[in-house]
Amino acid sequence: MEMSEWTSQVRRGILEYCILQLIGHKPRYGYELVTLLDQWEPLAVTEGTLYPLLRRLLKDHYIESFWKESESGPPRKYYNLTDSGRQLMHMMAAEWNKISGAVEQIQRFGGENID
Amino acid sequence: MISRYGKEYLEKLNRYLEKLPDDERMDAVMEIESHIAEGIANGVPEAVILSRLGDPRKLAKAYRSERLNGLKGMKSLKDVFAVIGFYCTAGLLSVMIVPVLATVAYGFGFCAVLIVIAGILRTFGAAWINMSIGPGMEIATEYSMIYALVVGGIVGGIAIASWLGLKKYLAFLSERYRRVLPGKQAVHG
Repeated sequence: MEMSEWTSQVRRGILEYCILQLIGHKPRYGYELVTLLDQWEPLAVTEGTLYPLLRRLLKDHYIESFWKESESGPPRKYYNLTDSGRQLMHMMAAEWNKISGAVEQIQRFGGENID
Repeated sequence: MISRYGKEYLEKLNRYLEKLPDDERMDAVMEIESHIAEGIANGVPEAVILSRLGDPRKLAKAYRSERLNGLKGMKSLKDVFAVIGFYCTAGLLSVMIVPVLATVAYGFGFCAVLIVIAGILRTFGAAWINMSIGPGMEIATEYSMIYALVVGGIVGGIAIASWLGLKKYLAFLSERYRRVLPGKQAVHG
């Protein structure tokens, strides 16, 4: 497997989780999410990935959207977590902690002396 | 302000998204429009924003493929039965309608062309081509072309009607498919 392919597969799942976290913190709009995620190089997304992903989360009822005027610019389409989205986020958070804990142990000890 | 290039981009995106239901398509295009305007308001050159968005065709494709992924979310038994029902009725109907209409459209279309060619040939003396209205009522050579055009027109008309019918039927199918598709009905928050 090529490195870039591995990276993109790992990122895809994590990205979805991070987006839920960001939206869970407060309602956010697409441009804001792209700019926010740009701060972390491994999480930087293109618009071509983000918007379709948002659309899918919307369809699966994990997030909901509403249009709102902004003072400075054009109307923005904000996204909000639904109850089932928040539930999913919590489940992902628990899973993520377990995974990262396990990976860290393996990285550190290579499977030896785990007590 | 979004320039002509930005507007062209949005128009293209709109066109490539034509397979999406109208409300979803408009919402997607509006969102990208808002994205471009937001970037401009933040001082990013429009050309940079557009190039980041990438080829509108690819963006549209990404929307569509995420939409297909959503199909996996068939949760309730009712959804599954709705889809099975769709395939059963549409499948059976299509087995009869599609081949018949397609054959008639192409077969009759081909014949119409042949008839007109025969008319031309007969006008210029190909006496071996037989044209008659009934037994013993041979068409005079000089009327060959008129006869060919009338008969060819009728046959061609049938071909066109079948072709249009086929197109209508296929459009009807995809419309129905869309309605059966689970998860389609609730898009907006």
